[in-house]
Amino acid sequence: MTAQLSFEAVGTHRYRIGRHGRMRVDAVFYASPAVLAVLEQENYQSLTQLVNVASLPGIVEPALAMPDIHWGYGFPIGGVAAFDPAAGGVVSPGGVGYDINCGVRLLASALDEADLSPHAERLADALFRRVPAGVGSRRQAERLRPDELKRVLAEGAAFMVARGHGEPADLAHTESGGRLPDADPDALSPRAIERGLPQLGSLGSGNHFLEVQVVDTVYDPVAADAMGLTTGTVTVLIHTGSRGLGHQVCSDYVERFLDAAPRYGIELPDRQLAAAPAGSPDGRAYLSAMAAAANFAFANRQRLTASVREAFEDVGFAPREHGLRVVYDLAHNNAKREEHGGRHLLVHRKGATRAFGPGHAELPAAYRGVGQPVFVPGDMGRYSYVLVGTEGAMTQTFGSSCHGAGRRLSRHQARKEARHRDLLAELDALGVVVRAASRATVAEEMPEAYKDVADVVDTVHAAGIGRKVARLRPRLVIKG
Amino acid sequence: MARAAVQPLDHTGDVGFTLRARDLSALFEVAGTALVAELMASPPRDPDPTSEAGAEGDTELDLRADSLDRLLLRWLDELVYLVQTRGRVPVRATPRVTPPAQPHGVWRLEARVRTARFDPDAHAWRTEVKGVTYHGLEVRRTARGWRARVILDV
Repeated sequence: MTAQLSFEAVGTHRYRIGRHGRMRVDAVFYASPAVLAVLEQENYQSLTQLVNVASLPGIVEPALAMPDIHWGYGFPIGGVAAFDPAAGGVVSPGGVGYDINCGVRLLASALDEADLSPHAERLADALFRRVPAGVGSRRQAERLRPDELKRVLAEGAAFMVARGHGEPADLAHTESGGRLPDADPDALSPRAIERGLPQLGSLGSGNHFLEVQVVDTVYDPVAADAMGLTTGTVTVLIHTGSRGLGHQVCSDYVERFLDAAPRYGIELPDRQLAAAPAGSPDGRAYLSAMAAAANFAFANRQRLTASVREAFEDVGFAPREHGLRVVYDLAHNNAKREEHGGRHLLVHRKGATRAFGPGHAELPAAYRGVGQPVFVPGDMGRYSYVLVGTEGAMTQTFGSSCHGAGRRLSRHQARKEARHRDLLAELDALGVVVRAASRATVAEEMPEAYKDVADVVDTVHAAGIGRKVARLRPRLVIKG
Repeated sequence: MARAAVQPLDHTGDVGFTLRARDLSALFEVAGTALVAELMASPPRDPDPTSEAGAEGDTELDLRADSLDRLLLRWLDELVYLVQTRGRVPVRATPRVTPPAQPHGVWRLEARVRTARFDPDAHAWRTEVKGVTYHGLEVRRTARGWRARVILDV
């Protein structure tokens, strides 16, 4: 650790940075020995970002980072920060990120690997045809009218279900029912609306993906059973968010809050942390716009769910055969009003997942006994994990857990390493069929570009802020 | 193109670059070129580089900001919008940057941006930019001209 930044172990994989300088509260982060080594290599820049977050007004102790922490812009990725609006607590658009309500949705099927294998190539083609993927991807034939988009922003995933793109049961297994309240479409700029109109039901690019997977290990049979997962079950994991609409909302409000922050006497250690009191007119406007963008993201994943069902039917699986149903849909970039310890807080999660423990009233009945499902994507060559939230998460991390593996290589490094390799053939040899809109994306997203997600998940499990349920092995990957 | 240099920044999570140029207009021009090179593998070229006349694909921009680095962010934001939302790729830009007339005044950028229609097969998308960030954003004068640093959320 540097002279300026010291920390101490305060539990299993749990470390504390004591309040110092402009920090208003202590900061706590979770790390395995491997993660500690990476933090040191990057000269603790992501921990410095965590310290900056701890200096924002109205933050409630502690500022947190999950074990997939890495250097972001403003907030570290993996950051969790709760603010008390009644005590001047702020909201920060940069603390939510550009991809508002980016998240993952897991579908479970009634098929097993033996059913899937003969159709794998054709199913990959059908999914790639049905799911618009890639930079600026859009669903031109279903382009919404502006009045329809406003309904999406207000109603979220329910709008898509009402249009026949899903079932009411899908909504019951979506975080917040697939709709955040207080959304105001008029809080969005014309440019945000313009960017959103053609993009509903598209995957996008970068680390977004759609995977068909197989459950290869079950660690917690009771929780797995509650989710309908057994060894061999075919699942589908969808990772995307609010597309250009959400990106524009973030850009617009970072600009607005940079001008607003001085009016509220807020000193910013990093301009990307631009913030305003959550209860102020600026704060309320952002939260209304953010909720609208979040609803767009829920609707986006709902529309993609319908595309997945259609693709399975294209290759001959009748709806009753594939039985695709939503296990859960969760977000890992947002700010949500939640009650913790009797206080009404605004919890920012940037690259972190809500992970409520058993018994929480917001959980669907199927999961109230085991805790909230948490999905942690790894990389396209190895595995992803299913966890559940725990009571430990409720007491330690405002009901939060990790969201992914975290990158090991920069995109430039990954492209360089991939230059003389045939990644598609390598993945094929691992039993993974890939369809991608861009070869560059496959290079940037190659398995070695990511840390081993098993290390992150084991850290979460050992620290008690999540519990391992099952591991998913990729078979088909659709990338932008 | 103006004499300038682009150096990628190895930011693990996102993409960034440092830029150097002898004057501000060249710095903004090379920032645009670096952005387009990040967005696609084979950007289109200006089909008529000697022509000064206005063309169908020209867009006029007039941007203002209270600081130079904020002006750079707004310039790049506009180019991201042109490419990712309008499907128009800048092939030539001649930004003119004007300093404030008085202390605490506004910086101004005027530019005619010539664009070509994006062709996914020919130009090959590489990256989707979610936003141009303020994190680490910097524009400063050096002994040899100007230097800037930009980090993009991708």
